[in-house]
Amino acid sequence: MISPSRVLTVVKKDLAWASGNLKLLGVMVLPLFVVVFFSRFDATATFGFSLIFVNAFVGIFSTSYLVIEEKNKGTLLALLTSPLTGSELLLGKFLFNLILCSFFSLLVILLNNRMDLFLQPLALLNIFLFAGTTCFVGFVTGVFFKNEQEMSVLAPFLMVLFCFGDAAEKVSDKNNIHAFFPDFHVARSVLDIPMSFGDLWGHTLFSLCMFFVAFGMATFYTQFYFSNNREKRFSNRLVGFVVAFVGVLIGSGIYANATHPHPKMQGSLEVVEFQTPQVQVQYKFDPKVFRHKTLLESRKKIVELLTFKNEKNSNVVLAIRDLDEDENSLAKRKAKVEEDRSRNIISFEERDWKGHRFRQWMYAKRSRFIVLRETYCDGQVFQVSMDLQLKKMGRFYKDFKIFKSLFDAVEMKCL
Amino acid sequence: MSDVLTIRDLKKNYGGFQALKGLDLTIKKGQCVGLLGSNGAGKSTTIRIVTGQLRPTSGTVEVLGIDPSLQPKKIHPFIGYIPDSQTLYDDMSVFKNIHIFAELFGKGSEEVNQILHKVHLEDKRKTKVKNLSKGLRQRVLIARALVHSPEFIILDEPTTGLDPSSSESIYNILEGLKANGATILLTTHLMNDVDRLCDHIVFINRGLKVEEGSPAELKQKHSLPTIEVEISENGQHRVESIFKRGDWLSLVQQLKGDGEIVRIKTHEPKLEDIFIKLVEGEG
Repeated sequence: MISPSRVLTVVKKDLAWASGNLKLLGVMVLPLFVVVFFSRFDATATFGFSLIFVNAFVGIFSTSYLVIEEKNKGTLLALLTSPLTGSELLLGKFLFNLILCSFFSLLVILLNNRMDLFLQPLALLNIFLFAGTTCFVGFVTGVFFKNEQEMSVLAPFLMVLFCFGDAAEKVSDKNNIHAFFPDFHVARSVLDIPMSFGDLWGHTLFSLCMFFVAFGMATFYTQFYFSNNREKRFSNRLVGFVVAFVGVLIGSGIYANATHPHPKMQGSLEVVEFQTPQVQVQYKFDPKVFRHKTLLESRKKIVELLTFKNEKNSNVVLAIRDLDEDENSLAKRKAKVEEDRSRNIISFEERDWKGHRFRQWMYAKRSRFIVLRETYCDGQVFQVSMDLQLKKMGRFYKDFKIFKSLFDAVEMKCL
Repeated sequence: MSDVLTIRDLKKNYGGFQALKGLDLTIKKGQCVGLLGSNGAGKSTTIRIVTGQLRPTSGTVEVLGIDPSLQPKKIHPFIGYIPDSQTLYDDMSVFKNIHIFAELFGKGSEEVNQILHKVHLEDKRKTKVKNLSKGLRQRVLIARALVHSPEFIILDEPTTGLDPSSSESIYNILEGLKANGATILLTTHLMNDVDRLCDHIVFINRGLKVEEGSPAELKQKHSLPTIEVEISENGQHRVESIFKRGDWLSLVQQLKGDGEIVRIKTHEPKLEDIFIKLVEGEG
């Protein structure tokens, strides 16, 4: 029978211990700097990542560190020769770290000014379930490894497991590393929150599944580890939960590939080509970058626009825009291009390509990206432009990367 | 006197290694028993089984009528276990270290203050454990193990590595507990401490009990007092040793011969000698 007073004692003990232990305090406070830094850097773009980072960091590192420290100092043995049971210890450590995770999550929400989340109980539940999953996994990690050195080998991999989808995307210059990972990764339920709250029911189901599998794994591993007969007993249930945990991960990957097929598996590189009397434009779609659903939709728009613009014998203008936007507003936007680009240039490069001089600008204004590429053919300037009107600010960074990679695939040559 | 601990034919295997090969041991209420043996003799395994941390391969163990391997959590309220290492929360105060365990045993601050008084740590209650000397830390460990007033106290080498003054204070505390009728199981390598505190000693070697009895009985059985005689003869000194048995005075006279006795010194038998004899004898 679990005693709430003993569980509370463990929580109070960890709180007192952590507040006096600089190393432990460091592990817990480090995410605070990341949260503040990210929120100052680009709150909309990094909100989801901040949420999963603090929860994964505190949940995995802090929980496992608390257990490993107890093991190293021998206090775990002392606790277990008291009436405290393994399950009460697990629950106490879980609650303490969950409180920490909740505190940091709240901080992320406040710093990023996302009070709208409080009106979305399911979104909050997803954050809670994600934090709980990391705490259970952290506890198992702490019990499994003998010391901090051993733990430090696996913990970063666990961090990657919990954060990789977004992290891989962010570290990828060409935006194609993430093509090799499943879309529906462990943190997707939290990552989708800042965009449009995603499929909240679907996410909640997945999060619940992960949470209970992690809970089962932690419970049975705790019972197994703290049993006085563990060298004899082979815990079938524990093995079952480990298999289930891995199964859910792999299953989510398979599900992701089934719902958003990997173009690489579908076949060849797609090429859209058209030409004017003076210039030929070739658009190559690299399958690796067409992993995301958003990108697939973007491609459809581009193909439609390319087909449309092909009929005009003038400078080629590629534009990604809201399809319901009328021609007048498009004309107005084009008129402002010159003015805008002089003020909001993100990048500018000038280079020679096959004897032709290219100039390329990329600039942004509020929720719009505009890329212009000019080339000179026979003294005439040909310009390719892409214009992306963002619907949601939360997708700023992601769409920017997609947009850039799309434009990089455009090749122009003079005829 | 009722039995606090009963061990019958206790065996424990670690894979192919047999740590305990059929140990028998009984501790009666109010008894202080010293469990002695060389490293790897099976002392720690025995303690781990008695405290419910380990399940035996075969044999029976009962602590106050409860089998610790089957119901470890039932016996913990009756046991005060002091491990061989100083397992304390260094960054917490003395009071907090003990208070945590008091709460786990369903006790409060009052009991903590009482035990701090008993081990003379009232003035250190707010001091962080990391700032204490090894001797004081050991006292904190004892206080932590005794905060719930256990009936059976198990000490695993409580004075190893302590200076004589700290050891003395620890043994004063233990003597006080013994005087109050506590049942104690003690393992140590320091034979003088056992001699001073224990009224029953059990020697184990390679997982088996090799001897037991009171310190006086063991000394009488396994060793005799020796007499060292220093004799001066023709300006030269020589030292002779004989056992103090039978007509030992006649033997001294024979040894003296024409010389003179300068000094006679009696050496009382020591538990160390018995320990070495028993362990080496087995070896």
